[in-house]
Amino acid sequence: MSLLVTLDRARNILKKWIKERNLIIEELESDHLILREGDNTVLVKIIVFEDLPDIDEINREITVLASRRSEYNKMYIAVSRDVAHLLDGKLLKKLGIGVIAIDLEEGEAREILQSPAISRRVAEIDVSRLEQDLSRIVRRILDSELSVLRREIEELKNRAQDSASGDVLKKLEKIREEIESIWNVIDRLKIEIERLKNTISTGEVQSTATSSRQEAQQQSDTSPVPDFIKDNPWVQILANKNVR
Amino acid sequence: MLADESRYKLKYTYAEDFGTGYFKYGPITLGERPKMIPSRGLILRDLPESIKMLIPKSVLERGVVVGDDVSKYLSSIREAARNLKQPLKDGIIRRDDEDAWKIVKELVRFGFSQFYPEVSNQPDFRGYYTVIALSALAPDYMRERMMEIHKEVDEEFEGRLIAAVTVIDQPFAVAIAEKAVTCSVIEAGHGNIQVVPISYGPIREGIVALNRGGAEANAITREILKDAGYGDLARDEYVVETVKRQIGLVPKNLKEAIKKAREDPKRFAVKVKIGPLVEIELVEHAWMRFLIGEIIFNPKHEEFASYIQTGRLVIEDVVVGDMVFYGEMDLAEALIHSVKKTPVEIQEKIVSSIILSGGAFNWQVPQGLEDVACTSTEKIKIMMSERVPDMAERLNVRMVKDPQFSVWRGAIIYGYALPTSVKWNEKYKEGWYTWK
Repeated sequence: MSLLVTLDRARNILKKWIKERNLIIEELESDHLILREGDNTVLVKIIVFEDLPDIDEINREITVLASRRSEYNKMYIAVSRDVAHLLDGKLLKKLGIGVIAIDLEEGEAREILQSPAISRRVAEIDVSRLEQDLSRIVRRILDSELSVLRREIEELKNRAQDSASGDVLKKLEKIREEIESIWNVIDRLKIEIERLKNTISTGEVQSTATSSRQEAQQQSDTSPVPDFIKDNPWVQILANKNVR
Repeated sequence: MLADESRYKLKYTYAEDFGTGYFKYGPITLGERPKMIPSRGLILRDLPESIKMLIPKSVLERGVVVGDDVSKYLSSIREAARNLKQPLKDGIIRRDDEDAWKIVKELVRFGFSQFYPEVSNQPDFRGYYTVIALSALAPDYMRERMMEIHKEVDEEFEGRLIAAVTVIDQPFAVAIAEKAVTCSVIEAGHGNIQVVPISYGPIREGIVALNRGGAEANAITREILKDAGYGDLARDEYVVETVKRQIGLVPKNLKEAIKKAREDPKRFAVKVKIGPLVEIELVEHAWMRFLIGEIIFNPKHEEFASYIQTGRLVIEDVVVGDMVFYGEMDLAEALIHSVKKTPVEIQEKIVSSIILSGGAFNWQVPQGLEDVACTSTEKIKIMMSERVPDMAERLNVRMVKDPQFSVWRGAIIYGYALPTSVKWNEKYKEGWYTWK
């Protein structure tokens, strides 16, 4: 089974599972879902493999997820049933990340480790990271759309001599519409960034102004994390030596 | 890890990689690249009195210089060759080699001295968390002496320089830098090769050491030069090293490669320019280029038999401490030997993810010879696939991304992430050692 097919199947099983529990899907992406469970925002990250499960990759995903734990009330990873037994349950429990095991053959999902609900710390949302993420998304959309446009222009150039002028005009009109839709997406994203900025500056930040100032002071004393440390699964593994 | 500890370590973690050729050192704040100086020192003895007067008293008292100062004093010393010394031989220092220990201490002091003046003014500075990266084959006495040296250097800085030290095996640091949690690391140096299985830490029982490396490739290059009529040049180690680097090839299959090279010597002929007046050319001996690479991977091949039988090449097992360094064991066998000593449940994972590091794996494939020559990663894949055909499709062999600095980076990550509450444990060889 190809990775895409597996991912698609896992997503469908999860959707069914979510429906049975009357949860609301707020966001549905290829590899993750964001759900609303009462007041809780729940992230479910789907991790599937085409062939052999890669425990290193799972650990990397868990490390990345753990760094964003405070952004969601609950957090789950959804893995196929045969991968579930490879997971480090103690570690996941400590990180507050739950596990949903998916039986791809039977078409069933089961929550095998609960994620405890925690309060979201909106004030800790990193605006600059958010901006970076959004610009990355914009760039990705633009790159993909522009490559389509380039291809079409090339096609038009090649066919310019023998195509009827009416066809060319239609194509140009289509391109204009597509460019317009890209700008709409960018505008929407800009509004979203502004909205988030406002939420952060007027919301919980005010109530925790003192602690934020302290944090800002502490952060100014802190050196940036070198790139080779970021997303390194060993950081979490070594940190757990404490437990032993 | 506690937030305060994490913040502190993001400023004050320090790592030292004691390589045979270079000493890489520096704090986490350097970012991607550490500072580095040659791993060598000049012992200040046999000095004429007139020169002694020009040397600062403190330097004279310590009796050793490292870094750029070496060239400053080199011309003043009699018997410079005897007194200029590389302390580490294949990553190891002999217990009684006091000159070598003296140089190591000076390297440590030299490194810290560059950063201490600045950090000592920081109100929150309570000493560096220092990680020492050593060969996986380093005996216990070496770890202990290294810690002792750091304690002595800290005392020179009134106990304010070092908060705690720990030691990490270089191949383990490579695995950390490469973000590989379960894998095998093969480190091929000049004098030996270390195969280290890793699964959430090094598995010491599975370490296999081979008594060969770049030096054996040099030895066979020397014999080839003699056979090709360049016996006079073969005496010069620099010439041998240059020729090895430029003509050495790793064969996909030695027998087939030699057959093809003998049938069409012109295709494999090579010229190496050593200097403005010296050039080496191999045409009918060009097939021997494949012996240079092959010896790292499989010296048991029958082509080497005549060299070994006539004593032109010595590859044998040796015992250092309680470790056997195998001479002729081929690399696939060494890997399997190593993996067999690890728990059965993780063997497949360990053997399927192989990371190569070290200069003795650095071989190129010239254009036009792709049908017979290959890189080190391909060679390991070929050898392992022959030995364990079922694994062929699942083998992931890769070279370390940044061979020079990956050990230092891995050591920095280790120092940053290992909680200070983990105290040094002699049995596990991990944790922080402190004398305060």
